Amino acid sequence: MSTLALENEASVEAQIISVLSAGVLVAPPEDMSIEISAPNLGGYFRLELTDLDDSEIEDGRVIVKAAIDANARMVVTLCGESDTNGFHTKSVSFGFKTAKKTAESDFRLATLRAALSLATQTRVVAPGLGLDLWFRLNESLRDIGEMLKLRQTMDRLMVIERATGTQFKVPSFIVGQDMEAISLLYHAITERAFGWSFEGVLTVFYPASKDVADSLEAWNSSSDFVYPCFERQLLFGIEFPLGEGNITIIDKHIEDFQQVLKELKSDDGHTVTVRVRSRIGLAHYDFPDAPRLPDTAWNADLQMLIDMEGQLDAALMERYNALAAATLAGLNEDEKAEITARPEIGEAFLIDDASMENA
Amino acid sequence: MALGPVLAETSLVLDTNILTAWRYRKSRVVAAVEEYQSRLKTFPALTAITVHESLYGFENKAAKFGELDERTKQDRLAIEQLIDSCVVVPFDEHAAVIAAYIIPRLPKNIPKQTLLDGLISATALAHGYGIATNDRGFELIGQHTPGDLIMRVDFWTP
Repeated sequence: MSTLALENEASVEAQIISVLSAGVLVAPPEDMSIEISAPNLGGYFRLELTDLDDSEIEDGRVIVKAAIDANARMVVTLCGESDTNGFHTKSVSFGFKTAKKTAESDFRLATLRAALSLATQTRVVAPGLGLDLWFRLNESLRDIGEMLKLRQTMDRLMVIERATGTQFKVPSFIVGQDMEAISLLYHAITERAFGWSFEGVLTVFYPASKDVADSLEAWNSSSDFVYPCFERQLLFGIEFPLGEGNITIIDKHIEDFQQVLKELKSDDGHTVTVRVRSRIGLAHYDFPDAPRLPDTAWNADLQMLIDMEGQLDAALMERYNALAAATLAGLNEDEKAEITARPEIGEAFLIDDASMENA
Repeated sequence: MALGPVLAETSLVLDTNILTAWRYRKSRVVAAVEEYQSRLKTFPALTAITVHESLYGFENKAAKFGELDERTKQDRLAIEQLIDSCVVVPFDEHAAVIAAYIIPRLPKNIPKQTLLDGLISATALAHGYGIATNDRGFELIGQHTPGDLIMRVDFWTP
């Protein structure tokens, strides 16, 4: 599977819940910050204001830009009316822009956006602008889910970066092969030994000798096949060594075993190809020397964002669970059974009965 | 032709029975869905076959009685929203080819619903998904997958 990284997307409209202060001072503000808090998620973000565009204030629009970090900006568009007391916000929308795509920038951005979307209500305070209001973002569950998936991908990239001393330039579109590499590297770094899908063929080459033939017979008596290797993984065109380790093919099947054995027993040193599959598509990877994450990989600010994971997940699932339950709300047990009964269209597929149907 | 285990990174589709159990708020299925989302940060997908089955109950009732009452209309709206909130895996040409292989090889005395489960399996296989189900009939289906395709099945108890 592939994933789309954050792009400069259209703004998301917010539903204003309450306005404590809606005035925007058009003079340059002294406190150049914007604070966003999502109490039910334990999230707090303090962003530096980088730009205040009031060129359209007469048309009822003020645009404020705030730095999520050096590469990412949140763009707050305030719509309202001006009078002698200043600008009065009636509606607000949020957009996000990235100048340079890095794992940490996209992680911060995805966390902020997911928090804004999942919070039951969010407070935005910009003291220098006289702005203080509560709002709720209206994003679809599917969009929020994709944001959390992206956040996880960026989190994993940050882990790989810290463990390997690399800094990725994150592409706009991460192809399936790179997504797979991200997952494998992440598990190797954080777990070292783990189960992994293995639906291909392991091809190994041995010189034909009686010793190897004896070994292969011994290996074949076991249900698994252990292959010592020095594993490398390619990600975004960069090769990452995982060190010496073992790949164990679980419930193995050696193709053309008798023929391979016969060739090895020829004992003439020629190269014999051995192909090994897993009948159940499973291998155990064990890379004890894979790179390690430093003990203090994250600063306090980033750690706070990482720690929001559980609350973001719980908030999303609460909405999904409520929606699933709403599909049977208000129905009695008989009505529920009727609505959820599976259709009986099976006869159409019983090809042996086709003659009966024509009778 | 084989069954395989579901791994940490295996994307799953929900079998129709599991989707129904989730709609009924069966606690163990709710917990399994939550664990899946927590691990993969995505919600399990639905196959187009399960979408068909989920809407069938509403349409069957509407066909019988002319139209749905207001309460049931609201519930139907909710299932449409739920479907919109999930990835729906299509029953496409690849799935059709796999289904054509599997279904004639199933025993003739199986429950009729196993045939729909065969279509769900073919859809999941065609798109590289595993299946979350409570139905042991999927083990039987898994014995009849074409070529080297491995059907990964996770049994969730409602």
